[in-house]
Amino acid sequence: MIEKIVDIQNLVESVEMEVVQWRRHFHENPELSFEEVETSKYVFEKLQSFGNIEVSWVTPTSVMGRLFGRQPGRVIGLRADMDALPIQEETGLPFASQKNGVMHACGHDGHTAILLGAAKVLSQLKDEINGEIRFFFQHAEELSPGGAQEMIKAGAAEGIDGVIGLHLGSQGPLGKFSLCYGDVTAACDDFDILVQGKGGHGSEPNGTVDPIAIGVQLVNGINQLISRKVDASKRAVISVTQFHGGTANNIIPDRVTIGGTVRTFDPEIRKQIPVWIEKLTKGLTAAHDATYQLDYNFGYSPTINEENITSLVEHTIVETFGESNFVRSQALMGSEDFSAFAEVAPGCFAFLGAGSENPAENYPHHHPKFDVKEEALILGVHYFVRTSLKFLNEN
Amino acid sequence: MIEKVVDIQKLVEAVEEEVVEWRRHFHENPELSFKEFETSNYVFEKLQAFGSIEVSKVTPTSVLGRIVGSHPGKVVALRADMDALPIQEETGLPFASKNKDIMHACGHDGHTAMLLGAAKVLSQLKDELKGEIRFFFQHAEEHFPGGAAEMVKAGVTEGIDGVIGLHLASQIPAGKFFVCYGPVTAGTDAFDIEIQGKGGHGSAPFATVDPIAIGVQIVNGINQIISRKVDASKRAVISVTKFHGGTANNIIPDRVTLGGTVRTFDPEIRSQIPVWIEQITKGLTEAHDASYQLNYQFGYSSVVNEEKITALVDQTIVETFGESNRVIAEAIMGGEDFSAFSAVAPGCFVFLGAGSEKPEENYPHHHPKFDVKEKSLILGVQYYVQSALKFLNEK
Repeated sequence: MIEKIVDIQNLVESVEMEVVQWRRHFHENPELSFEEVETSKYVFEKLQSFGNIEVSWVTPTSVMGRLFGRQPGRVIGLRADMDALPIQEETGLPFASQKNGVMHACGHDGHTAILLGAAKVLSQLKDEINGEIRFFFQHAEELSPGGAQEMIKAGAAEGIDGVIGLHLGSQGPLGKFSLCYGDVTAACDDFDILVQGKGGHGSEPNGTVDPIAIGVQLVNGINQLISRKVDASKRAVISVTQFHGGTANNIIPDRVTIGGTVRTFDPEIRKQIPVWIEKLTKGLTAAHDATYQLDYNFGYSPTINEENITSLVEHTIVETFGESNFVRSQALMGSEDFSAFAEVAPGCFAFLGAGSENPAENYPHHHPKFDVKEEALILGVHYFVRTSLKFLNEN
Repeated sequence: MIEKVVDIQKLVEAVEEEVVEWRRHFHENPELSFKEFETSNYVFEKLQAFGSIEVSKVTPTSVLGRIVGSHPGKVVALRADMDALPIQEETGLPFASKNKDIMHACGHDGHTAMLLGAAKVLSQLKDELKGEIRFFFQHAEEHFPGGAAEMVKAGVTEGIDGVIGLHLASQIPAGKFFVCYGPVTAGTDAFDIEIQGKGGHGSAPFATVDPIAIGVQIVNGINQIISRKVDASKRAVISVTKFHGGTANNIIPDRVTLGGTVRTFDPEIRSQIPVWIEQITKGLTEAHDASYQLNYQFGYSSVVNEEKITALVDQTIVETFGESNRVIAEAIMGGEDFSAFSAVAPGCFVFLGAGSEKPEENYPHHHPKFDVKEKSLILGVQYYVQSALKFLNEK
């Protein structure tokens, strides 16, 4: 057993240079959600070259790799997302994006490279594996409705017993793993409301139905839903983030548009919030002779870490990287479509710090100067290799 | 005396065709505020051609004509405005605007033509005139700070004893004169407010200063000023007509901008409203750790018809056009820079209907299909001629 551990350690270390090189390749050639044509081809070819992995296209830009062990057993899915963002890069890195207005500003270049590295390592351990390891190279995490649900619809998750994911974090210190039990990321829904009044001259509001006067009451009402309607023990956020109406100081506009985002964990509250928003909108517009149109868009579900697999992942992290590199953390109000995988099988999604110790040097995700420390990449390879082996070898 | 009356009637009738032709010329060649170069040249040349009129340029695009009568007496001024609007005409008239996106959509083409007609008639009566008639062909009524104030500053009103104006109205049946005693148009002021918050992610409002949440409270506050602060016997209007903030549903913006218009008659209330608006803005931004910038722009003052000259004009209208064509009217909440003239001498400003009997056929002022009935033009000429003569002949 000790020999084997040394073997794995050596195998992981031997892919480090390649993983860094792959990450730089992806970083330099970013592709937007649902457009990951070159990225997915690159992944497909690499997986095939490793040997022992059955590689297939799941959707036009997502790839699945299957590694069957010598012994029968359980099935574990490992997931990485591959898409970039519509952001103009400003890092000045030698391998900065070559595409105008497209950038890997959320670390998905690293995720893809890490999972490729893990696949290369694991492909060499076929004989030691009981069961199956499935590699999900997912497209379109950044754009609702997301790639994860498409892969599931295509059958990629059939028969899996667990699924494991990882996100690099530019604002966590390098090498620190953080893990949540239960809620990890929030459900992310959004809404757009059109309040249709009746425009006219600013000097004669009596002849108009003033949509700004109605809109501000509506926003005030929406901003009281959390404090007045939601059980204080449940986390939920509503932010009205857009309000647009009017073209000139002396003209009351015909309509205003209002938009916002809703973050929840509890499924009941998630269902109730659009009902409350519509009730407010309907009542206030009816009160003032206006009409409305409400478009409510349900986005990603909350990601919830299942207890058993999360505990297994925690043990693996502590054994592999030491207690000092492990932090139990609170859920984020951000969102992730890993939730689609975690809905069909017990899932665990962890965060791996890839930032500087000095917070002033770290740019947030989706920032034009976002970057990750490449020393974190090999730790991510370790994480996937160790957790999947532990999952399959557990009784 | 009967002979003279008949003479004047004939002189007026004799100019009707020309007045219509001039109006069509101006309509076809509209010019924006402060850019009335061709219009003012045309007016200048016509006035000179009439003879008996001293013609001068007051500002680069405004013209003054003076007929000094053969007998000493009072000085009365007649005013017409000449500027057009930034509107693309959609009337389909054979003499529709030749200038793209510029249109006489408020009747100033008619005003200029009528006052030219009156000048032609009065120039032929020089020998019978006691005192002096001044013709103010004013630029830039539509664009704050307005042409009237510039003309007054240049000295055109020095020594005048009264000033008379007229506005064609597309939504009043042709031939009806509307006369107000006291206030005619409102003081028109405008404000713009920028609320500077602190933007951030829509899922983490606690880390932001949400300028939309503050902005809607400010608008609610402003919308209660009239009902809670202003004496119900005083007419005043505040309309918040612009509210803009936000670019994406998941991002709380850094700032929002609000704008609106304020219409008042009472000078005390006019000076108090910006104080109340600032108090609300300051208090609410302080309450929420935001900051603000308020730009308050005092525009045209209220036009107030002086009692004596208005009674004289009223009587002239009744004598000339009959009681059935005179309506004593209420002030409108619109603005007019005739107020700059009537602030320095007793003034009277009336409305002359130039619309169809059927309201559905009439388009409002500033509408791309705005038009006036040309049969009103000669009535306007008569109005100017008879009012001016009556003013000068009165003791």
